[in-house]
Amino acid sequence: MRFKKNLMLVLGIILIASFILSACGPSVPEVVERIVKEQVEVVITATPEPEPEPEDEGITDFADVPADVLVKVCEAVKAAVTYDDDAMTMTINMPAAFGPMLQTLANGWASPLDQAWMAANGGWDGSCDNWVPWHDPSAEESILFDAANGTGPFKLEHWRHGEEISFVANADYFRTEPIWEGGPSGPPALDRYVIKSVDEWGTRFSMFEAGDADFNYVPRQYAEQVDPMVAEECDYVTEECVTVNPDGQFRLYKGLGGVDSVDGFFNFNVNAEGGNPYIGNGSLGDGIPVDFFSDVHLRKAFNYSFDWAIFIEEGFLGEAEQRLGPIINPMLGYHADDFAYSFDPVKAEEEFKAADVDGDGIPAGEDDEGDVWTEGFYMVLTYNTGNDQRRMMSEILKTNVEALNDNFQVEILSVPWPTYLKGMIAGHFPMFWIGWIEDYHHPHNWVTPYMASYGTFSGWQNFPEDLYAKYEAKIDEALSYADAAKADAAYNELQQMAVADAIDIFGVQASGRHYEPLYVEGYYFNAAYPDPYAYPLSKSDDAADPTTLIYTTIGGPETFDPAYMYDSASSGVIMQLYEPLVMMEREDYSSFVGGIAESWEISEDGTTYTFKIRSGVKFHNGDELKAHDAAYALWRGLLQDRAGGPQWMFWEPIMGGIAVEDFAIELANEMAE
Amino acid sequence: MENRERILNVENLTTRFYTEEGVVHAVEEMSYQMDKGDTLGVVGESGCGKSVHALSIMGLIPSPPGKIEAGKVVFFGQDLLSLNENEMRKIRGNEIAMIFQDPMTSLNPVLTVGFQIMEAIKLHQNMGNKQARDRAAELLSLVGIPEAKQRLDDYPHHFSGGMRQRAMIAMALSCNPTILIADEPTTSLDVTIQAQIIDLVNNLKEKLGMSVIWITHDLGVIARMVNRVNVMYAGRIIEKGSVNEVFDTPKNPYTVGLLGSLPNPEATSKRRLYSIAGEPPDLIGKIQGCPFANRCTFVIDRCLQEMPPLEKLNENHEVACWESEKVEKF
Amino acid sequence: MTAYILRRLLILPVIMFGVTILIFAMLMLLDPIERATLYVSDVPRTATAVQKIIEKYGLNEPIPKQYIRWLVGNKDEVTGEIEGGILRGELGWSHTAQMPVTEAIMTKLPVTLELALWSIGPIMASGIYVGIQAAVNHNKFIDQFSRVFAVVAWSFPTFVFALLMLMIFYSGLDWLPPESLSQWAKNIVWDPTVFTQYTKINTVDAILNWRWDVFLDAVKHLILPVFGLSYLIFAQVMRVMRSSMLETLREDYIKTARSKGLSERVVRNLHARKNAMLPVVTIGGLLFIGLLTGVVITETIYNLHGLGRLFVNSAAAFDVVTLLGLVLFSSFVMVGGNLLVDVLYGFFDPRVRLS
Repeated sequence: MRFKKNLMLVLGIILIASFILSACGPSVPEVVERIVKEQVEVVITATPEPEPEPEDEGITDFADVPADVLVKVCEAVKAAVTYDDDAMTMTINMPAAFGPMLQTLANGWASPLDQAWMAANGGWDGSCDNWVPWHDPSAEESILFDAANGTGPFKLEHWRHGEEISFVANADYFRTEPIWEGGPSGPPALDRYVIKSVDEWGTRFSMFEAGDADFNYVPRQYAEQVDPMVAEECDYVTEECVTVNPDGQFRLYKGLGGVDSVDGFFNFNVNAEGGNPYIGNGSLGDGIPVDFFSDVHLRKAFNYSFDWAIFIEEGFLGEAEQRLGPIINPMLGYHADDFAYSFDPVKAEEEFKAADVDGDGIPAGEDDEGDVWTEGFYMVLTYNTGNDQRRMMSEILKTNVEALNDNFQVEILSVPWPTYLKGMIAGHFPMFWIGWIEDYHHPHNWVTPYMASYGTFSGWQNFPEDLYAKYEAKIDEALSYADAAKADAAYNELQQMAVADAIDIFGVQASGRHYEPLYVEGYYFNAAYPDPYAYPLSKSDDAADPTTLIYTTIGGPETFDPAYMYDSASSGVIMQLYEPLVMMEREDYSSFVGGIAESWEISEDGTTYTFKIRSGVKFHNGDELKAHDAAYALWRGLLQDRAGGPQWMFWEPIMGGIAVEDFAIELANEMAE
Repeated sequence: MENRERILNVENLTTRFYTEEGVVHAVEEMSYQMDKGDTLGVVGESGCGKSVHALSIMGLIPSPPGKIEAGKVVFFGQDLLSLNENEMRKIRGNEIAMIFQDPMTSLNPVLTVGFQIMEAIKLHQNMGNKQARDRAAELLSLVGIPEAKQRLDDYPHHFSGGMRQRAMIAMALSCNPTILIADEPTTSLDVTIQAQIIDLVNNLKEKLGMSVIWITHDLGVIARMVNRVNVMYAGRIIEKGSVNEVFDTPKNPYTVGLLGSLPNPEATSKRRLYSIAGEPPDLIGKIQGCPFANRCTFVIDRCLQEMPPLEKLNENHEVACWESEKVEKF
Repeated sequence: MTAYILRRLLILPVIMFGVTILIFAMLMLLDPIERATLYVSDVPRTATAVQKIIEKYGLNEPIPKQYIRWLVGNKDEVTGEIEGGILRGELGWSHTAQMPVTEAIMTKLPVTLELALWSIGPIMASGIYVGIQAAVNHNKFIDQFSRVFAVVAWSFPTFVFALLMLMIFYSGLDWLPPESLSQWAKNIVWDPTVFTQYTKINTVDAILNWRWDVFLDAVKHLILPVFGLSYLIFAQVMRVMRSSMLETLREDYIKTARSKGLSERVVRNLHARKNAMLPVVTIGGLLFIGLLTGVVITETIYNLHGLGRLFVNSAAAFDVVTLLGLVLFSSFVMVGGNLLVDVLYGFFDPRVRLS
């Protein structure tokens, strides 16, 4: 006992001593680390490592790329995006035509940045000699993480992480002509716009009621709590209103177009390595074989077992529509009269009977040796904990599938989000529910993730090679058309292929609601941009504080850096601070309004875009915007993207290939020869 | 005839406890007198009511559930039972003081011994702090505790058992009480310390002119220090008188049994230790007849019907027994 | 006494070390992909995104190696500088709080501390008072009332109570709003030119800056959350005080005190209470320590940005760095707090004092 006590004491003294010493100099931890590393190295080398892939000679790691090659990489980027400060133009030179280029640029990612200010404040100065230190930063390493020097209608006042973000009006906002007809110009009407983080619905609701919050994030399941207080319901396009309750205090906009979806995805080849609890014992009866969903009849059977009507009614109060394929409504390639599955137990049973899981050539309905119809199956259907919609979809599917045959068993399981993501990526789930929020408003951003081998979701579905090839060929074809009619036809083919092959259960596209107090004016909703957009808003004198608008919502942004943002909360912030090059009109998403660019020209072959940069635009700190600032922003994004960041959207069309690291490695190997 | 002052006259003291199981007749019709300079021993087995009667005199019976049903306790002309709480408090710790059985639990563990002694002094004698402290130190040396001044700041757990009891005594004596009631003060001490404490009390009694009521179940202690004795059984005094009378010629079968069960260190032959057969009665509810009847070897029919009253045998001896004439010591 | 304290303090780093090893061991259950989800918003859009993140943050290195790096720091191969490392005093970057872990704790601790301080003080005092009254007036009205109150308090879940209070006093009467301060007060407090945040505890800072308007506003905002926390603590303290007092009043030394002629008031307040307080001191200390590590429900409902929420949010997101930092902090608080309670107990009870 005494020995143990003394041992503890000694250990305690050692730890404290090393702590103190390490404050004085780095020697002790280094020594410790070295010693321990050696020991750990022994441990690591003792454990058998997987066979390293047979290497070609040459460089495989970005860190090994020599400095001169890096300079060349930067120069290649600068050659692709050029500028002329005197003529105030910026030009993008692409290797091939890319239909959605303007849509991609019509977002915050391409917002010009003040190059001089960035350099003076620790950011990259734009020189090719030294760009790697700013490459792939963590969120907090970017100087634009929580600071902003933009061109937008609002300036950043402060960001108290996890609490609130406060914006003040930019008195020097350049806009002299409205973005839309009847829209505002000049500085914003509001003095201040505040986004507050309030996670608890009850608290948010009481603040909304009390008037301490002007805008409020209302999850659909709580809408009925707010509805009794709605005075008038309005149409956001026509701006006509109908009085519903004269005593109410709120205005409601319904049917706001959504640009996100939720669908069900089949995994054609489940990964069973090391055991897989979602497929039972791996064969019919008490499980499913790993290639269960490679049979199109089964996929169709599941489609016929899903009840869209109930899902829309229960999950969305009727405010959603069934998707007709990967492409949303309205968009090029979307035709409202396309075929879609519906809930039909008769057809579902037919398809189950037509399936041939054991591969003996005899459909299950006639197979005496036994197949899925006679033996049944067991599978686990997962959804991520807390997501009520996906839970509902699981339950609907389970109920209807199990009703067809006593031997059909679908077990529902909820798992935490990180586990869910892993299950999808690693291919463990036979089927999974997930949704897509578009990056930019063009069908290419919808068909790729659903159908290409390099698509986010289709990449997890393990289609057979020929299927991928078929889809990718069509995707490339559709992308090549400059003529809208031809593009529409090609994209519509993709839409119909996806449904005919039943690669997914295409779920619903929901419309949104917006509640606001009666004293708020100017609300303008554009589905392509994050909501709310504070610029057109104002408060009448009925409000307690007409100068400040407060929006209470959950969560918060990841970063304020336009080049790195990839979550909706961040883009909602950047919208207020940075003006994009161009903006999409909501009446026609192939029509654009000038932002920083006042006009532009596209070459006939679609590979060169030249933008006329507006004169007289000032950054928030007063610096005047020049053409090189626009180019600098694009170079920075292209060269210095972060892992998991959004810049792949620019790199692929502008430079070709996957990303800057691979480009650099390729170039290094080329130059070595 | 001795010219001694009568200081205490207990008449018909009856105390009962009203509990959920019933009414406990703890003390029934107790009567006795005390003169100045007396050391009165109150003797009996556990539960016979000796402590309860002392607490009744002090007015410390928790009420509810206890209640002093009847009787008078006349102290210097005043009936203590008729005083209100404020008046009674002036007497407690001042003119009548009490010490208790277990000195460890009877002293407050979180207050210094000095503080606890000084409390009574400051309360009853209106002394300032310094004065009270000096007096407390005096008292501690009086009871035989060395280095008294330093010990004042010690806590009870710094004292040994015997020393603690001495400190209790010092506390009780602080205001020069007329009567000191000692409720089994040596029971939880070992034999050598017992002797010391008894001697101490005797000395102090002489020095301070105190009268003492010594409650115990230990007859050996009685023999050493008291001059009068009350023998109690089932809440009643069944024999009382001078200690010589009662111990040499006990006239109540219970007293005989008690004395007989004393081990005799000078016995030459081996003999089983005598014990009185049976058990003391349940005190709930009124007992008909003599409470000792079911264990008595001298029992007659009358014993079961009527409780014998205390009869005077001579000046210094009273006994309650129908067959007292027949009773003899072994 | 000092030797005792020193010994307890020296064991502290051993305990903290042990706790972190435990947490790290639990990490072995997590896949690198699962840990990578912390750095991915929504779904990873490209096939290589997750892999790049895993490599960048070293998530697939062997667990002992990750632990060592967390402990002693990371040597940047390019610049040769060492960064990070617990033993160098760097707890890392909290992705959940979006600031360094140390800063996160320093910012959110005062919020929790303010709640704890305002709850413990008055509540202990009133709990003790009512407990004593209940014990002394055994079975009378105050006693019955306190027992009923305790049972009701225990049965009423905090979040229901908190939301109910908010609905009545905020939505209904518009008297007591949620959050820590009104917007105007926040603007003052966050402006370094007019207000210095010495402790980041709003009430204390307001007094130190001699801004009574801010002080009153802070107090107004504290009423509901403190009340929501207190009623349960009050019930617990009162129960313990009551039974402890009842027991103490039965002790022999109380009889002795009465036999000295002391008034009932002195007997109760001086002799009984000091002894009866001992278990209450222990309970109070433990309750306070519990409050310090954050009360999630109260913080969430009243939108206070304290440690409880940070704990829960970082646990839900598998934000290992933050969790480890918080666990270190709370084990420090636990051990230190327990030590303090022991010393305090010794202050009250001389039998326990070690000389």
